[in-house]
Amino acid sequence: MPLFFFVKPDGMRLIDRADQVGNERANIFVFLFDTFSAQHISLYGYSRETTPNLTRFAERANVYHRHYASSNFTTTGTASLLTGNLPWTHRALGHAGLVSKELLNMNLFHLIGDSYNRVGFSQNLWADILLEQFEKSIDQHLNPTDFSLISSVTYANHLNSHISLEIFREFDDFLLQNFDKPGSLIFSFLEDFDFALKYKKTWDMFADQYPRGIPNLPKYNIAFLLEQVFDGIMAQITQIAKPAFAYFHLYSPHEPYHPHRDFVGIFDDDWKPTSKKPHPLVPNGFPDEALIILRRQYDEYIANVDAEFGRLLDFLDSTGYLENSYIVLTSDHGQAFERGLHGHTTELLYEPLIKVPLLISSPSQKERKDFHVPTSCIDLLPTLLKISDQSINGCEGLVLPGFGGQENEDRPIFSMVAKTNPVYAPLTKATVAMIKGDYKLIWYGDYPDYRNVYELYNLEDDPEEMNDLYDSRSSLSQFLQKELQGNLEKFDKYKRPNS
Amino acid sequence: MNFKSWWTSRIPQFQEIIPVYAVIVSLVYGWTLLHFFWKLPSWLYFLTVNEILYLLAYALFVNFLESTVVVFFILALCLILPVSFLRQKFTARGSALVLSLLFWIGYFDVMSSMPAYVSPYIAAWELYVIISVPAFIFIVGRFPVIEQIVTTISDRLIIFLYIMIPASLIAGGIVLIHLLLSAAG
Repeated sequence: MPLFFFVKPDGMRLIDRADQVGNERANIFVFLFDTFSAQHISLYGYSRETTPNLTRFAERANVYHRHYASSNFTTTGTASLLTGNLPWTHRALGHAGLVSKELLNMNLFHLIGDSYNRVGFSQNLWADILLEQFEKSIDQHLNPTDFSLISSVTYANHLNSHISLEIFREFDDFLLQNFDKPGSLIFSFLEDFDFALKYKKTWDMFADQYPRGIPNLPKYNIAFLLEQVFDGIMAQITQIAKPAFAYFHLYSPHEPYHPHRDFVGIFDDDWKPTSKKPHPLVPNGFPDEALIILRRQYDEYIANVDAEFGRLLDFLDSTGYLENSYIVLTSDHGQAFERGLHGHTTELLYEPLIKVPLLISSPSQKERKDFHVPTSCIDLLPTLLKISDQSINGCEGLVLPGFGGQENEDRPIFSMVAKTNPVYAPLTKATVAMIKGDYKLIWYGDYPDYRNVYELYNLEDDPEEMNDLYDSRSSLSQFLQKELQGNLEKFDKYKRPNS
Repeated sequence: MNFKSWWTSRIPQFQEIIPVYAVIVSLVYGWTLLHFFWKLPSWLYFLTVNEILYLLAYALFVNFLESTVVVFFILALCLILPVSFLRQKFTARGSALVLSLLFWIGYFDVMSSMPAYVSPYIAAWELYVIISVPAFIFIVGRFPVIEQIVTTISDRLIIFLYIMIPASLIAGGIVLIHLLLSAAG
């Protein structure tokens, strides 16, 4: 789009700060794999061998077995991870939402300080606009289309300009959007027609390697090869002056599941997951047979991502980065193949949707440490601040065990989704899950036909969340319900009229 | 034949262009406004009124550019194609071209919510366009009743020009001021 008026030049502020602060600080690299459900990771006990390289990495890392995202989709989950606050505070609630303006300086890049060379990269545009919000605190904000084969994203051409977020909202999220009908009749046609032709040509070139299609973002015009993205990240890492703080948000294994040929069909087995009855909030859901096929494809794609991560791990090892860096691997949310649901666009908060991996390797760490207490994605920010000797104020997260934090079984962990709740209103049209000890209470708020419903599960005895104990364990239910609602009333930025 | 007479024989009169432009404006702006109001409820969850009005202003300004691109595209066709194909009976044939072409473009927009997945079907789409658009233009030029219907509709749509063009100019002004203010601020 010809919208280059008044755009400030891209300000690369990357300077070698080793001279300023010395080389004693360890690098910090955060690798976030979008839509990476812990329930599908063999390291965490999944029956298919999806992640041998993650298991290899775990041999020298802290492994968190009950780590929860703050929500079931990118915007809210990533906003929590980057701000150390739960959605009831940061208010990035909807698709492509942004964190509240008061929290603009309450982000990982700002708080970790300018003694680090801070680099941010996200293939997922919904996470990238958060990075763009924090742009003043990021020394090098990489373009989301970097490391892509083909792309056509208007916002990406205006990155780091003063109108970049408006460009995103107007063009990529409205006039030229792909995930719903576009607001523009002509320009969106021209863009999509051109991209479709390019995609076809590219796929023709790589069809033997990617029989299901080139990996791509379904909502935006970006297509890439997984190995190309990892190669790009490896090259980028070597270019960042030390000490480095880099956040890499990779789109895979988000759907569409387009693994390399080597991984297609590797899980053609007879294994079937536990069948679960469709949820009332999943109307016209997928039949089990379809979910089994989709699950298998997701698992194949995870295995592909894991193999690429293995290459990255070897690179970090051979170049010495494992010896002088903290390496964090995590995700923003999970993915579901149950109860009629495929994906994560839902009001549900079952384990596959919110339980994500977290592994942190410290410099020169040689042994594996396992932690089984529930932890939250909001804990990453204070933990990284502690690692980097920064003060920790104003965030709801706690330092993780293994880095000075306590192993507290009684701490409630919250995850929530409130896409259709107004940002400027109390959370009423929302689902909130509270994990405490072995129990998980889920509250469904003001949904038509499913209003003010609670579910209670014992995750230790019933990890598949099949047996709702809410009625049979009424005193426990009441106790947890009071705690959940009490926390909502206490921490929700906007108070309910009757509170 | 000198250039001036060639030009006037090829390019339609202003009065003939206006109804065709009205059809373009109605479809282009109508499409955007429909989707604007469809998105509005979700925007109300997280955008301020000012931000939403700015989105609308930007969209109207873009619509103005789009409709201008389309009308110039059709005038360019008049220069290329034989006079009997489009230039003669321009209001009817031009309107038929706009209606059929924008129908297929709209169909592509709806179908291509994920361009990567429609790429195998592009050839079929192109075939539909190549066959149906000239056929519709031919039918409109051949049958006076249909020609009359199309001409009448395009004449009636001129009213929208009196609304949309001033609105677009105001929108363009708002966008310009906003960009200047954000550049300064």
